[in-house]
Amino acid sequence: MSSREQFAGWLIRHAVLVLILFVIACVGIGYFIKDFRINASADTLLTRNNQLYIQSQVISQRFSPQEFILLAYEPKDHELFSHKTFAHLTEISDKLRQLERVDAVTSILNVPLLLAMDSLQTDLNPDDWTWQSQAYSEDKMQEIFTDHPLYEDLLVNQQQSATAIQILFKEDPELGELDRQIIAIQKQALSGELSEEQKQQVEELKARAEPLQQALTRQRAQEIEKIYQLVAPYEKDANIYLGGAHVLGYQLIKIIEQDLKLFGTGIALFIGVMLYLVFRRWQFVLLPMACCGASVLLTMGLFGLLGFKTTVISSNFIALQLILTLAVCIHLIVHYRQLAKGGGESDHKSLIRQTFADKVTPCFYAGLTTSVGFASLLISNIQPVVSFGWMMIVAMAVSISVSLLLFPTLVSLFPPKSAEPGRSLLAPLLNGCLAASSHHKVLIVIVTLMITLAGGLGLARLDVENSFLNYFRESTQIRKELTYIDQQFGGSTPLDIVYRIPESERKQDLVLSAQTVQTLQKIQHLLNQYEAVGDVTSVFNFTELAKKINQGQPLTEYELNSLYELLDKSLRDRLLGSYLAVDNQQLRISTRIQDSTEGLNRAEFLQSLKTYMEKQGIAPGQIELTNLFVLYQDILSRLYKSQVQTLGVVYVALALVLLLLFRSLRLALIALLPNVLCTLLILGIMGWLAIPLDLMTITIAAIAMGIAVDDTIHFVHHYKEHVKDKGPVQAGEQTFHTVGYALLYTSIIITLGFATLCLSDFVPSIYFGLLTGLTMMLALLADLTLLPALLMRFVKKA
Amino acid sequence: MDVLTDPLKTKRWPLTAPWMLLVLILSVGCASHTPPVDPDVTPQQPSANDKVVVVTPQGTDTLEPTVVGYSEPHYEDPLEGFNRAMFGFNDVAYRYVLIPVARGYNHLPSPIRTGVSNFFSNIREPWNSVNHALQGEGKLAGRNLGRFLVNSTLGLLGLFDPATHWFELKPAKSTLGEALAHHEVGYGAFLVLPFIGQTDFRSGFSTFTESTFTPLEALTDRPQTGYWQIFNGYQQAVPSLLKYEELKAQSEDPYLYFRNQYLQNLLRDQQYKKQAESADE
Repeated sequence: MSSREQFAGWLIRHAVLVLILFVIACVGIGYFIKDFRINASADTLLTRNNQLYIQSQVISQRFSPQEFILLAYEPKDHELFSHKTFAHLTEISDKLRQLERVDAVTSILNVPLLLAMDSLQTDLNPDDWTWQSQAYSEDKMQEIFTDHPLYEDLLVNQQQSATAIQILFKEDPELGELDRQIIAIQKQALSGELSEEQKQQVEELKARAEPLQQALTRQRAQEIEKIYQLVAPYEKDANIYLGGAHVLGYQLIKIIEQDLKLFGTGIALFIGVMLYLVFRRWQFVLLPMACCGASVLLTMGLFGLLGFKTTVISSNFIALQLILTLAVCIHLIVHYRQLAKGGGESDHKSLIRQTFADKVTPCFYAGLTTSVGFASLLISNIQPVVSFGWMMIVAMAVSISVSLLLFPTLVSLFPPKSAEPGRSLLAPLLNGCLAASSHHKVLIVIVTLMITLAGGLGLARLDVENSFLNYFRESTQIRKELTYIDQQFGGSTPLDIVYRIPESERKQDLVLSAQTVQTLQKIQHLLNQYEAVGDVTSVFNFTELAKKINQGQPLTEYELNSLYELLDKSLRDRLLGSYLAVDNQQLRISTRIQDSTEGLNRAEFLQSLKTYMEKQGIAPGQIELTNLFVLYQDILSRLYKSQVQTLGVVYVALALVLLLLFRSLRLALIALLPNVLCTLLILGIMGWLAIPLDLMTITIAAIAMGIAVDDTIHFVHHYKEHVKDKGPVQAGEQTFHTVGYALLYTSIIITLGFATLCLSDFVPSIYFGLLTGLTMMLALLADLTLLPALLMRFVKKA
Repeated sequence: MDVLTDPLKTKRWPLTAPWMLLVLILSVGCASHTPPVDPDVTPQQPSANDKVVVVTPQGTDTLEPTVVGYSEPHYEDPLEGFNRAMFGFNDVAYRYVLIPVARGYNHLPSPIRTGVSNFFSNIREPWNSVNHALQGEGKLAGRNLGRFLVNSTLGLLGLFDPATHWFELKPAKSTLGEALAHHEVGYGAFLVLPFIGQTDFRSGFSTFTESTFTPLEALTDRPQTGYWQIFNGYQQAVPSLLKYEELKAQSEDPYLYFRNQYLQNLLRDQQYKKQAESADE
């Protein structure tokens, strides 16, 4: 009796004990599900601690723009500038102000309308110049907001069909202070290495900030829900849209939660039905599902315990895990049934022992290869993808132990009635594949290569463009809302251009020289030439406004300076603080990029922007581009490289695992080939279908490869076991009739399982589901045609 | 705009004739003693007063600037020595006399201050009309006369401004200096006068002429006319006086700050016109 059989025997004898241990583990670890967190803020998609990120943080702190949400109000049947609109805005603003964290609510009703002034004044109280205090007529309001240098695209859209309320939030003082301390330390990393002590300090500060951050995230979600509630009564008269980074985050969390639930239950139910259809025994439905449930429970508990946060990228780990646990179970079931069919008299327990002994090695290696697929993500250099890799390695460890330990135990406790496996509908398919691979080996190889070549040409068309808006299915409400704000109110993704005033432009006694303002003017004019650039605001807009008030006559730099010096300090900070850092001699031009712009090539845009800024005579050293847009772009720019690296690692690592398993270079290479071709083909198909590489889709090839190679292992393992005494033709035939079924069942169930991800509102999940499913099907096809053809041709002896 | 950024600008600061003459002679006398400005000493900075040219992917665009600046070669200040001395004198006068009084004046109820300001604005409408006529602005010249008639009668000697509020005849000011500038008479040189502050020869001449021949003479006799004129100049300067110290505090060389501010406004006014003035009606 082999050691594997002995272990299986031990498992069966102590089945109750094993079961109890698993129950205890599930309860013990499952308890930590309370710490399971979803974090979908845009921040989670960023790579932290890199230079760009720290720079962005430093800039953002220097100019400290406030957190805000935009609420757009689009009247259905009444004029925008009308009594009714003003009344609604007043009511909505009053209600919003009552929210605890709201600092200010800005709308067309309470912004200072300085254009109503006859001439520039410095002793002005801006609150005297609002609709609220002056009750300007509707016509006057319309006149003021037409082509307003500051408020167009921000408070009123260009067509004047809608107006926006800006809801500004207070900073949490404690969290803000912690963040400042963290950045103060990290800033030093920009010029040199951090000492160990400093690194530790940062970690400590981060640990202190973490609970505050979580509380804030929760509070934000509640606020957004409340805002949706309080605007509901106005929706019969006007369309109301919410936008802003945190609304996006909130909606993503909602979708992830919904997906987790939907696919947690949906896939489970679906799998149950499939299992029943194939195996027709309740044990083979409920027991695998119990194993799946236990896996998910343990994994979520472990994530809570280890502090892994589920992000947008990792949101479908439940679906993945259900499918992977199931795959192992199916292989065990199929083998068990075949033994039962062929073995005749053997009793239930020795059947289980035999199944375990035969299958533990390929199953374990199959799990290992899948893990290798995930592990390859660790070198992607993209933080959210790396953490997804770690999470799935943990999940795989759980899946393997549950399906190899708990499942046999459960089956031994609840023996299924033996049943003659019915003649499968799939038999002709298998026979066809068998015939083809034994008689037309060369043809198969040629056809495969041609298909791969044709598909592979699509590789050249692979693109990395992506926008957040495209993450939401087109039909969803949130997609409509975010797109509306994006198009009508100046874009979504912030891009900051920070201009350091060169020595040559500075003038004694002047905060800003005319030259500097004109440089800003040039940059802004340039920015406005790009279709994708939405709202653009800087100190320049204020000078534009001043010129307008000054009856179209430009100001002199001294006038501007006197105006600046004479303004009340607090008003100055309020108006200009986020655009001008006098101490650092830096100016910030704040823009938002319209994500919904058709055919926007982000890399090209940034490059062109840089080139043309240089053409204005602005030295590259004077300019710093920061904020989310740049950070995302940085990630996108690394996607190609990451994709190549991860795939390279997967190929090499899997070759090693296969070599370890089969102890034959020839076998290892034969097993690897179909899978390599499949991954190249799938990337090519993505290219042909113009599905862009993004944070989520770059994981597909590596993961799919890890999963698909499982089938190959089972097939090759079985063939290798039998080729020594039966010869290639018979061994191939037998492998087809045993493992072939398991392959078909698992692949079909896995594919259909992945296909259910189509129901998600989250587009990357849809792609992920469809493409992984497609890879599985392609791999199956290759495993049933190319693989046996190669095996029968090149592997005639063990 | 005047009030805001031309602190102590004195285009219309009234003078009695002897005063003005004395000052003019004095300042011209000083001119020869002023050493020429050495271009190597003051750092040269290009002016930023022309169109802004932007190269974009769609082509080259030319924009009108929102803020303009001029630099050293544009500034005519041959009397710097005299001017600095006067500036020093004024500084003391402002700080110890004129500003404290201005603060007091500023406490008067605003209707009174507005009435006073209206009255003096109305008195100079004939001059506005003449100056507009000299620049070929017939419509504006007519409007000035219209305003004068309406405000002098319905507006109770100009204390109120029904011309603006009832007849929509908006104010349109013009000085002799502007008329001269229109005919390309240069400003001569920068000049600081005692009490009056920053001015230039052209503007000085304008103020001198306008205050010598004033409709005020129809209401008062000399020397009372002169006292009224001084009061007029003062009440106009009050807003600027109140800002003087704050602006002075933030500049390293207050003389240069106020001089450059004055000259830049002057140069800018020559180069860029307000849209409303010519385009209106």
